[in-house]
Amino acid sequence: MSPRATWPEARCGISSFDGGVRVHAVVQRPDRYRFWDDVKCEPRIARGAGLSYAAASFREGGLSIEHTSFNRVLDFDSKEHMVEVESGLSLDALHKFLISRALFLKIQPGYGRITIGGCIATDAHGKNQARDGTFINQVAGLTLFHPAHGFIELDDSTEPNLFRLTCGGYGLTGHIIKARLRASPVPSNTVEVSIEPATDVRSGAERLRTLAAETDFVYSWHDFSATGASFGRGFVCAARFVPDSGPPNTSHATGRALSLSAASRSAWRLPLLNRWTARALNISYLKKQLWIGRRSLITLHNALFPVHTKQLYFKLFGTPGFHEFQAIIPMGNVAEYAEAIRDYLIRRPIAITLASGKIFRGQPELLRFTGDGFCLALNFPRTSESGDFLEFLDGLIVSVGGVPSIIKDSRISHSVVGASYPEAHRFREILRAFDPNRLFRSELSDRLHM
Amino acid sequence: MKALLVGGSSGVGRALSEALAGRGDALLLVASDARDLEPQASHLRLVYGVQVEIVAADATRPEEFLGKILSASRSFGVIQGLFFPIGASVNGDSGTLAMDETRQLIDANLLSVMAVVGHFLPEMLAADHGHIVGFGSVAAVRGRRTNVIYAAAKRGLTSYFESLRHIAAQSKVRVQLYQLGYVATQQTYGRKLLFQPAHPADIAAVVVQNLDRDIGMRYLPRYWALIARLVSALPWMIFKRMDF
Repeated sequence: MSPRATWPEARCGISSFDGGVRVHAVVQRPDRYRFWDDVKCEPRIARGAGLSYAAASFREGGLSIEHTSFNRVLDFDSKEHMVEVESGLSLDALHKFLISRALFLKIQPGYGRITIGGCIATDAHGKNQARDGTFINQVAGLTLFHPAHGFIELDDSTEPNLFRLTCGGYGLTGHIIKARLRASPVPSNTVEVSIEPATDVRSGAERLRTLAAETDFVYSWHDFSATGASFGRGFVCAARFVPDSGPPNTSHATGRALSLSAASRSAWRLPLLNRWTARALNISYLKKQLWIGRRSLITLHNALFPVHTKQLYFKLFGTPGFHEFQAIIPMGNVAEYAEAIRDYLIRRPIAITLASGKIFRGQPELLRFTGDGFCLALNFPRTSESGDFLEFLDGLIVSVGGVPSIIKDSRISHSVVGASYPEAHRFREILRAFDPNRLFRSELSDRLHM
Repeated sequence: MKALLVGGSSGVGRALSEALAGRGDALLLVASDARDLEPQASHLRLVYGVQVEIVAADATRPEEFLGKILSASRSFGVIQGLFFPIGASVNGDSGTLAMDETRQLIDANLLSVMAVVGHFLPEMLAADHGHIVGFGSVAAVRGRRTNVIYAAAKRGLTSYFESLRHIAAQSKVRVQLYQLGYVATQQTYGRKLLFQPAHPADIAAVVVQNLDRDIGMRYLPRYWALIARLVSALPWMIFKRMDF
């Protein structure tokens, strides 16, 4: 008997976190291992917390298998700092477990409800990509399930091709069931944050490059709603662990306290962010950060999960949603990239609500979002003008030899990915060799012709 | 407390295992599939640092079920709490189930509970201490044309727990029965329901909070008590026309 017949399913509307893709799909949320006993070879895709900006875990009329009930800690080796978990475990829950053992994951995105499986499938990056790399660097191994192949144990030495295809493979190789992760010792529970003003994007990027080698957490913030010479002004934020700041603090918000989802984000019908409110928001945010000054202390939890205190920000985009365009720009082309955006915005103003940068290092491989350069993320409301701006950004990023993020953009096209990911074709070839019937499909994989 | 938890690998049982482990209770988890019990036991041991043992046993075979539990309980230690968040239902339970399926439903929902309680009750009464917590269903409030055998078994469970409470009335053994309304488990997943299902963790939190109280029977979520009264009081002329 097929699981479609024996396991309950929900027929529901699902949207990408940015609000750009809305479909009707079928979702199953198994909570027992016998679910995998008799899975039919039919198109499907795995789903974690459903927080991806792009539609990586669903497609119109498709079957999504939600892993959030498989959310347990399975094994822990205190000597090797190795933890084995089910893929539906949230970052917040894992952090709670690890921090009580004075450990943490160095590389993790900034919202605690994101699942481990999601981090692996998107090869997420953390607070200092240039130094630490991406999530794959702390994955010692994983268990993959594919209906045609059964359970497969993967790591970088026994099944390197499939392992590297799965880490950053957007869930297209199968269901990630379990993962063994390398944790790192926590130097301390407190992080010292320093803020330096930046006059423009290029100088901010240069300063970041220096700080990335010396600090634990580092990013820049720029005001793209400013005009004239002020365009791109902002600050560089660098943070270091403060030694001897006491035992790890295990009292922090748990997963259940975090409410952000694609549905709750879009609950407010009217968007409250526009050119004027974005301008006011950016001015006040910059003033506040510079006023806080050169030195402040925050907890490690707040440093790792900054989005926990900024959930309201995403709700302000309302039902229409927002766009994120995140791209790695070669260092030599940062000024050209920023100036081109400034020139566009002078002609056709767009409410840029966030412009934030990081330094990236790494060799391009398959569809993993990595490379050498300055990674700049832009947020702006989804409006009638935003489509043209995105087309402009698509052309710009290809012309400067940059790499746009696939997981942060729910509409990026096959041609742009083909032009900016040199190994996109290789990804497709390896994937088809492993899964000729292409069982695992999402709106993202359909759009990118994977 | 050392507790036996039957049905501890999913739904309310899994949430209850977390809540009890969070108090520091040692657990003997029982469910049908070791593949679900092992990760749950590992998780509870690692996260809460408590003793957890497992028994993979099929509640539709009560003699074998009891035998496996007794065998495991010898090394586990003296059991002071019995929790039965177990429930089995099948599609097509509309009055025409074959004998074997009927028997399985009654065995899983009623007889297996009776078998286990019957063994441990004398020890608890002798020790003048213990907790016996059962889980019924609002489906048993009034017989209707769906879940016929399931509801009958759960109605039997209600009577059984009333008797247990009476037996233990002069002791410090606490007997409690929770009649569960909609809970967010596989049974309700994807269904359009009149009321929002309760989260299993919230149910588990209430159960743990009430452990030392002599509450007898209670509906969870609490508003189901009112619904149950209304359904019971509905005149037959109206009730017979209802399709639910």
